[in-house]
Amino acid sequence: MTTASKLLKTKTKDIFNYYSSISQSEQKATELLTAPLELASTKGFREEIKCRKYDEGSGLKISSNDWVLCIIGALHAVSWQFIPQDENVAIIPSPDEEKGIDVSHLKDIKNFLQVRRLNRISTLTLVIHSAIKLYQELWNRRRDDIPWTDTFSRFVYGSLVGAAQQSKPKTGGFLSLEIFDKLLEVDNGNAIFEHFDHIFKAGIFPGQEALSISFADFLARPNLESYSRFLSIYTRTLLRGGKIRKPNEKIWREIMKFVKSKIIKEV
Amino acid sequence: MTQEISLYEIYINKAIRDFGDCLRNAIFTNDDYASLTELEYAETKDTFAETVKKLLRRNYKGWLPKEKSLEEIMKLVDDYGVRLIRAAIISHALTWKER
Repeated sequence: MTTASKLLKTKTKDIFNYYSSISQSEQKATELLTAPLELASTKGFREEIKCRKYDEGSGLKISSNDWVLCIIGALHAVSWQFIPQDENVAIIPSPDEEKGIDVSHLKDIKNFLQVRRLNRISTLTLVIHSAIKLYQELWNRRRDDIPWTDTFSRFVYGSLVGAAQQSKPKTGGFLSLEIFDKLLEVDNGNAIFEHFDHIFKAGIFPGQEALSISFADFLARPNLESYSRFLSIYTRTLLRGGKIRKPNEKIWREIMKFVKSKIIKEV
Repeated sequence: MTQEISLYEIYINKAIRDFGDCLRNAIFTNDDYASLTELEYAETKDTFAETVKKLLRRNYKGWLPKEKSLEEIMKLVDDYGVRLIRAAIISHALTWKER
């Protein structure tokens, strides 16, 4: 058993006390930070090695206290999902800086993200469909007797894809949750999330993949261009007799509120 | 001066809804997919006006928008550009109203 894993078992409380305020660790860096814990720790990301020198670069080492904190975070907050063709996606709902989340809800939040029948066409569709499922639950919980007030600022996601011997980072980024946060306040929010879910589920069927890809693109970057592309694909799928419902006007109105365009006016 | 406007603000205009109803009728009742395609590819005011003309001519037996709406829609095109107006019309044509 390594020193770090001993610390994880015995000194977790002390480590939390140690990190009660943000400070730089004075401990010696001894533990290796691996890619599943932090994608940016991968060799190729930190060091420019291609065509410069003939070695693989070195791993990133951190202090044992940092490593323990990292493991605790990975166990409780990170949700791992699988995409066919050997890709693993990590999703971390990042709590809002001001309002934050209740730590006791973390397990439930992780379960809400890992439901069955998610759209796994691409990394972005999977991340956004998971976000929809989570917010659908949050919408219901907000209207419970003991309402949840958890607020997220964004989703941090990253994916590892299987290479010859080990997994390599494929993509990563932040997903803004502004749209979903606004929909939480809307009265017919549940119906809207349900329709979003329906679009992603319809996008699983062969021949309808473009529908979910364009919709994910629209929700990630809501503007007139992405909306027009999505609208065009939606209309064609509908007219072709595809497995998709005609949208309710009340739902579509809420979607259109997010489509903003800049116009130049002469004064 | 640059101004930001949401599609929703355009969508609630009566003229847009009038033309949306006309396009909906054309697509789902008369199978007039040509008008939809032409509207999607209209980029300038002239092509937009031409598309509207063809839409009305092809569907003269169906739902027709009011003359006032026609004037209003061309005014909106002048103010906000073709792309925003065509997106609003197609959006209205696509949806169904709850009664």
